[in-house]
Amino acid sequence: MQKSLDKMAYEEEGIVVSIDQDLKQRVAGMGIRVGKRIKMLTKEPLKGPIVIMLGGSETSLGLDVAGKIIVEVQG
Amino acid sequence: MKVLLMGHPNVGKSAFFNRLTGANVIESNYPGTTVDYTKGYMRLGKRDVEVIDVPGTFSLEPKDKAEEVAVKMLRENKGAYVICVIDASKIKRGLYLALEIIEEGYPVIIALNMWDVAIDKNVDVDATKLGEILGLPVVPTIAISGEGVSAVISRLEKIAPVQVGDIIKRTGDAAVDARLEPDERWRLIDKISEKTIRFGEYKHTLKDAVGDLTIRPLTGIPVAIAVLYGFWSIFGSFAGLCTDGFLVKIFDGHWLPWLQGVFPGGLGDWLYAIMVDAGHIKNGVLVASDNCFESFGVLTSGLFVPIGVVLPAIFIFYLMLTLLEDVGYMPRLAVLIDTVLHKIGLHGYAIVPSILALGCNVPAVSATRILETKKQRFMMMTLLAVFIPCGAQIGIMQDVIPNSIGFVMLYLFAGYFVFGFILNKVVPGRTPEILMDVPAYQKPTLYNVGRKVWMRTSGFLKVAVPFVLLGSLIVNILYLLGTIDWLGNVLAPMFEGWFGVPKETAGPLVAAFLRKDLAVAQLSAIHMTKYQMISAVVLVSIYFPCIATFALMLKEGGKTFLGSLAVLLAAVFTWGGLLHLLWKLAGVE
Amino acid sequence: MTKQNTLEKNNDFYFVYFLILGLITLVFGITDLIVAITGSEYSLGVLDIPNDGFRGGWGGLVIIFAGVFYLSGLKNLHEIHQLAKVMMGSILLWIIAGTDIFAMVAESIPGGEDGGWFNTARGFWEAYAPPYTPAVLLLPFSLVVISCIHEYYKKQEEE
Repeated sequence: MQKSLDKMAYEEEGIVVSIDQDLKQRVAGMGIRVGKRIKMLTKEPLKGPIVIMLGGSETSLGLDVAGKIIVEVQG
Repeated sequence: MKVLLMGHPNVGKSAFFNRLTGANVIESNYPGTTVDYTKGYMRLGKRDVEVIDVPGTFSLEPKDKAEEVAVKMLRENKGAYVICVIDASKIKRGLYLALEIIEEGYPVIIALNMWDVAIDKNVDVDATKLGEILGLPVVPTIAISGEGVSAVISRLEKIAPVQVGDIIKRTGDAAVDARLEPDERWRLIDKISEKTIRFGEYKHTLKDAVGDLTIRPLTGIPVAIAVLYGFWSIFGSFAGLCTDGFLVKIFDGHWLPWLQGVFPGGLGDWLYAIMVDAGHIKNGVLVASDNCFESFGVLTSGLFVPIGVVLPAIFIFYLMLTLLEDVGYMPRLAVLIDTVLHKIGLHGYAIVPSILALGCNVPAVSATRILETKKQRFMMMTLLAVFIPCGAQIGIMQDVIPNSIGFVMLYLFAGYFVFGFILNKVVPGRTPEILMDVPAYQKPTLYNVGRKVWMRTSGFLKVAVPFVLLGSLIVNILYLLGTIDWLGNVLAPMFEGWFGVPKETAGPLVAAFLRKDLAVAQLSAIHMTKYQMISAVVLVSIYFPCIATFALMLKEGGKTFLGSLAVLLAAVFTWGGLLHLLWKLAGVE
Repeated sequence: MTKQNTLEKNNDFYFVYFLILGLITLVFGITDLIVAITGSEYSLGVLDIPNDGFRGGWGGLVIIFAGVFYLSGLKNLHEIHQLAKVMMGSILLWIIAGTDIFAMVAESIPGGEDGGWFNTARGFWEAYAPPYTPAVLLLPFSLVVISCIHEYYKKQEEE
């Protein structure tokens, strides 16, 4: 099932299937790219940023940014 | 010949830089921006070569202003040698930047740093083979202990640019001529890592588990509350120790009497009054002051406040802030608090200037440079100057109104958020979404911490002291000329009618422009009710930043300074008047 | 006893230990808060509960958090995330106790308003005598978490 990153639940894992074109360059250097396994770690309350784990690194993204990344969720 | 140190933030670039350079290190500002960087010199063979610690960047496609500066600095130094510092435990990400730099045609040497962390995480890198495929030296290093650094230095002179096409060929694929697309670059990295890196089972260490705890809201918020408690408690104890314990004695017991004796003229003489002691009227007679607070002189109060009161406060603030930064806690705090701050249009990192302001507003205003957009910097500067009381003020408040201080602080913080919310809606501009790397916890190095604290504290002294001295001078002259009293009389009706405070508060309130803490102390001498006192203290806190902050806001804010002033006036009248209204509603005087 | 039994025995010990410590910490924290809110003083032998809003109120709140961390980490103590919670409980106690001790040191050095530069020798030592604040009393007990972690890593290496 495909979801955007901001809709993922706690601890859910998946593979990135697509990233908005204008976002791609900005996140590429941080390791976020198509085909990479990603895990949602936590959300902050009141529509705050989310924290994901990817390739051994943790990154924090605002909900709007996360909405532009689509993930194929497993399990 | 120049050497550029490039890499992601939090990979140990500064530690590496410290190992390379001597004592001759300068902090510079990239012109036209609010981004700072450091440069120094290293010994290479027989000569001294300039080394620049370029601001950390994740890629040459910049996503914020610090990264933009990093890219500009690279492109402006065409002949430079680049030491690319990579976190070995996150090597694939690091290779992305390294490849970009290689593609631009620079000679690169890779310092595979934090080698020990990689071993802990079961990341096994064949550095030699990696170097063969890339066609450049790859040296494992542990910058904080210095291991590997001399190996990097010794191989630095012999590096040469490499063609990406050759790298691709060595991985077995057909060569590509043009600049790589992000996806292609990642494919290349995947191929390279297949041949050179073995990832063992990802071990979750205790450090990682604690890292999780401190960023998840349910556990992270209590921890943040505890950390802030610790921060505050140590600040109070240390400031009390230095100021009340020793500095007050030195200034009041020795400096003041000595000056009173040595300085030409005497009580009542105008130069003496301005520079040393204005004295005060007791039983109709002019008597000398016995402490540096009341004496008001440029050489007495003017020196006592920055050195005796504020200096210990900001020293301990900077020390703790730097420790928290170097340990890696700040990004997590910023993520936790971003939720709240974003609602008023600020980024999570705005917590840093906000906390700093509680020590002293002056360095806090400089710290607003870390914020991305002009709108955020303007908002932050204004909000903290108006609503966040500085350590000196808080100290005096504790002395003078110990039971009401909690209420005053809460009222001010409420103002911070209310006005933040309004400003966010009114001021044009956008607030960028958060996109931030969250590094693992690391042990801070004494040298790094020491150097940062020194630079920040001495920076403060160079800026604040001259201004406070100047301000003391101006206010004393105005007092002597009777201007302050005149202003007080003119404004008295407004103070009584609108704000509900007795007209005698006008004098201290006007003088508070120079010295807020002194103003609060003066207020305590005036006969008024508890509620009037609270109003008066709130007014003093809001209505004008101290002269040093004022001057710095002018310098950092430029034209937006007028906007800040406007907000300030609006805040004074509404927030101050509101308090009077609240008292009326509650039926108290 | 087989190795498995030894480990289980150890686990039981730590479980009971932190259960008790967690509950006591929680009680201390709540008492702190109550004392701070009502503004009364409370001194009992070696224990001296601060009654000011800052140490009692804010500090008391943090001690409550410490107690909750201890108790929440009890189940499955050998799992790394649970162990981290127990460690966090101790860390929180260390923050409070540490700052309390720093405050003691800061007060013991200067001579005060009427005294000379430095405190008298007797005044210096007096500053460190009991009674102590709750966190300082709990401090030695909170250190047990270190041996718990030590054992965890030893077990890891054996696997």
